[in-house]
Amino acid sequence: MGIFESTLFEKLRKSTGNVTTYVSGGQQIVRAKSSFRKDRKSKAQLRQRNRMQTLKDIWGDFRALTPEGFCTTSLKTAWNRFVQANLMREGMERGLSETADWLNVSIAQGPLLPPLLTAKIDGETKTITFRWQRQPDRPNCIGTDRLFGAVIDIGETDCMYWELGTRENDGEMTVPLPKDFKRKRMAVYGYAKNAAGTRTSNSLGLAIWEKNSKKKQRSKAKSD
Amino acid sequence: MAEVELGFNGMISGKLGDFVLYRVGGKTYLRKRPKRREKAPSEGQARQQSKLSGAMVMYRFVKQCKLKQVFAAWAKETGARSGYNLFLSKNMNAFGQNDYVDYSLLVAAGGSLQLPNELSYCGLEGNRAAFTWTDNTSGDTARSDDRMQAAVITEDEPYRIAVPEETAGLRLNGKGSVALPEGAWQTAHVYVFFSTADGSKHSPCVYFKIEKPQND
Repeated sequence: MGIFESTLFEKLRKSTGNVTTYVSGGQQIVRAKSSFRKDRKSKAQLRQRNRMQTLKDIWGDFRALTPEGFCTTSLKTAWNRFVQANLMREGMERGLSETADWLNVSIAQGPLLPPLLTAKIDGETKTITFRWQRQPDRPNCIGTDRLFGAVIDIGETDCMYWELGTRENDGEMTVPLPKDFKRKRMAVYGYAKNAAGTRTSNSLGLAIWEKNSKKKQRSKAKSD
Repeated sequence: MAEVELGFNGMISGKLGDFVLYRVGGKTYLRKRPKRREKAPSEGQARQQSKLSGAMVMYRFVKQCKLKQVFAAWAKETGARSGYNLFLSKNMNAFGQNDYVDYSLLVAAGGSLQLPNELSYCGLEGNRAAFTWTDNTSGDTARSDDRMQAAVITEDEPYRIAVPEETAGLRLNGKGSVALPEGAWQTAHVYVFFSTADGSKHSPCVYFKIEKPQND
């Protein structure tokens, strides 16, 4: 690998023959192409591929939430942090096959203390009610920290988030579900963010909702 | 780190390439810009960080009450850079990881005023904590009209320090009391100190741990 400065080329990238160049950290880098690697497909490799594939599949559901949750304006950085936060989470390997697995997905990651936040989805009134409790000030938990709630329409690319209030007081907020949601399956999350908008808590999976879950439960009970 | 002497009254600060110019205590310094931390902090570093962040959280409440003036006056007497710096230096070691606070190590006040002799806690009278002492009025550093003050922390708000307005007691009276906050707390940490009538000078503080009596 070599670093070069050229007066002829600025931001030269892509490959010529066996040589590839790219710009990284403001520096022009040239290196040989990576050699062919036999696909060994070890168990560990396969597991890792499954995880990455799951993340790619669900990225569309969360994409619009992640810049706020991971404190960045760049979607690329948000993706990197989303992968870092979720790669080893439960359910990633088997592709979030269970609906409850969606609550394990992280939409924010950071050192702040998670909020005391709950959420309830009401399918009839098509609303979500968030409730939160006051938290005494301590390191990584200040009264001015803002609380956020978010909902995703699972399997679609629709999502939405709301700023709920601060940790300083108990509170409750009811918000209408977005009209363009298909509302077959939904997951609700929450997290805290400092007043400066530079640090967050880890996100919490608060509630999951399935359209026919009650009917399914009833029919299952009858068959039993 | 290099000290720099500049024209234009030395009033310059900010980034300059890979370097940072900054001013502390009336002097201008030049140092290399810090790099982004790649590794997680070591155990010692994490311990030190938690000390600092604990003290900083408590100082947020110090700023909101009389203690801000107390530390500012003490800093002026001792030549410390500011009340904030003095608070951190006196109290950092009281904090630890996982919200640990050693309340007996906290310093809530200080200064050149003398404490009265034999200051002691007598018990709770309703929601007021009562104290007695021996009058030691002796001149400029112990006047008869010096007022008793107290800073209070309750266990349900482990970082919230406040100076209740409802305190009563002069040095010459030999007794005084302070109204403790309402709430479901069981243990309160009280730091008693004295201030001159005009509030310009303050004494060091004495720590008392007060338990609410159990209702059987």
